[in-house]
Amino acid sequence: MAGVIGLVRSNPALAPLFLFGGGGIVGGIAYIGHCLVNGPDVIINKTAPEKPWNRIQPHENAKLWSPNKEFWAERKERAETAKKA
Amino acid sequence: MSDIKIETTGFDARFPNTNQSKHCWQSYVDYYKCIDARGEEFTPCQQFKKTYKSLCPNDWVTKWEEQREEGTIPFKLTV
Repeated sequence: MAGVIGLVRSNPALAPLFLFGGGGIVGGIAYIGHCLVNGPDVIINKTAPEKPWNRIQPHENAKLWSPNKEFWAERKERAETAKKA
Repeated sequence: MSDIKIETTGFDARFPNTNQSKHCWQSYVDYYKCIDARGEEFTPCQQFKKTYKSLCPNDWVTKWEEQREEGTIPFKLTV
């Protein structure tokens, strides 16, 4: 870490390299951690009786992005009307 | 011929991707848990049966049925 700071002090043009590279590495590890903790696919805690995918509600989209927005809007509507009824 | 209805199970938000293996396993487990909790005559259990019959490879089903008969099935089928 001190070596990096020394290097950047002597060659300030290297700063964006470390910023973007470091940011990318941290972001990648953070995303992996987020998927492990919050994703419905991976079983981390084998002794828990509830499987992680069972918490997904019928109107909930587990994917980051989906092109078919009307489908999910319909499902969400159906869930709201079912909740009111 | 026209009155034969060929259907598969509907979309399940828990398993949105192409790989439906977990869906197959979950519906197999849910069917037997449903039978255990409500008895075989309870018709909503048949929805799980329809799902696992549509999705699961026949090899898996026969393997699990054999293991279930022997009592060596590695997961819990009772509530």
